[in-house]
Amino acid sequence: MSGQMRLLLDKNIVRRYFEGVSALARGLTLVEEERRAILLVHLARGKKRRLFISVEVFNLLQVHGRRVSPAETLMFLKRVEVLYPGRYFKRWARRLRETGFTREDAKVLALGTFGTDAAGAVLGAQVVVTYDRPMMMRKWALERSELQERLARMTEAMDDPFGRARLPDVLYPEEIT
Amino acid sequence: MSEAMVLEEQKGLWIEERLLRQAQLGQRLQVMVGQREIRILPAGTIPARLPYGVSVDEAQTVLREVRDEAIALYGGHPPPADQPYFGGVTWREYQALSDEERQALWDKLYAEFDVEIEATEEQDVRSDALAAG
Repeated sequence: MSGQMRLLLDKNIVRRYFEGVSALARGLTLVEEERRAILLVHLARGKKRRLFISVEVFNLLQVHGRRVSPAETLMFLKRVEVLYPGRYFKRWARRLRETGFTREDAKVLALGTFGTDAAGAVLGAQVVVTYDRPMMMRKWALERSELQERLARMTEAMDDPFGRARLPDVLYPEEIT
Repeated sequence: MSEAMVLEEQKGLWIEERLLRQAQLGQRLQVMVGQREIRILPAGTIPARLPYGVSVDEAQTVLREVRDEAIALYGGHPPPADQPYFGGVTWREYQALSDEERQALWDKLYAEFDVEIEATEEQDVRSDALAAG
């Protein structure tokens, strides 16, 4: 199970999922982003992908989702896991903040490198899936090579598994194969 | 999405011009026929790539299953439009919001649970943990 590709969903993907399922339940037509978010989540298991969300998004859904959108919350949470901050998460998130990422984006991207599952059996996710075009997507593309070097310098003397930490790809749902 | 009505089929389906204009579909239309569903879209919105490379037919099957699962969880009926939704508004009110307004609403909800990076608690990671590669 741990060898499956791990996808970390950002808040915008989660929002689109909820809007889409709520619309479907009422017989409304979906916009493309909603449709893709739903397919991404509901086909993941059959495609051997593990889906993760941050602790912050999990808590948001536990408090608000269960109250106002209980069916959608149940459907979503049974298909995703939480990716917890692992060791060195804070150090890397700080460096991402210094590069100009928002706190939310820095934390999501740092989870993609130093996040772990409930058992501590994985490190990072291969992909952060987002709809956040201006900030995360473009900035990540611009900064990636420099960040890769900074990460390599930071982890070169670290013990396993941290010495093998990698940057995630940042992709749209339709780019997930 | 803002208006629902029942049309009678009589050797075809007539949709009034004002409705097409209201939907802002443009001059050229694309009609997609599925099981128990016909969608009319602007010609420029040809369905783009879907996650995992699934086909439109596969996608429609999944979406039907998702709809059935949601309705079953709601007791066999669609949830009412005046049901409270995220951000202290009803579903109907939420539907009227722009995408920017919806995003701002979710940003506000997220902020309730956001913590400073320094205040984050780090979990143990096993030495044999599988790194994303």
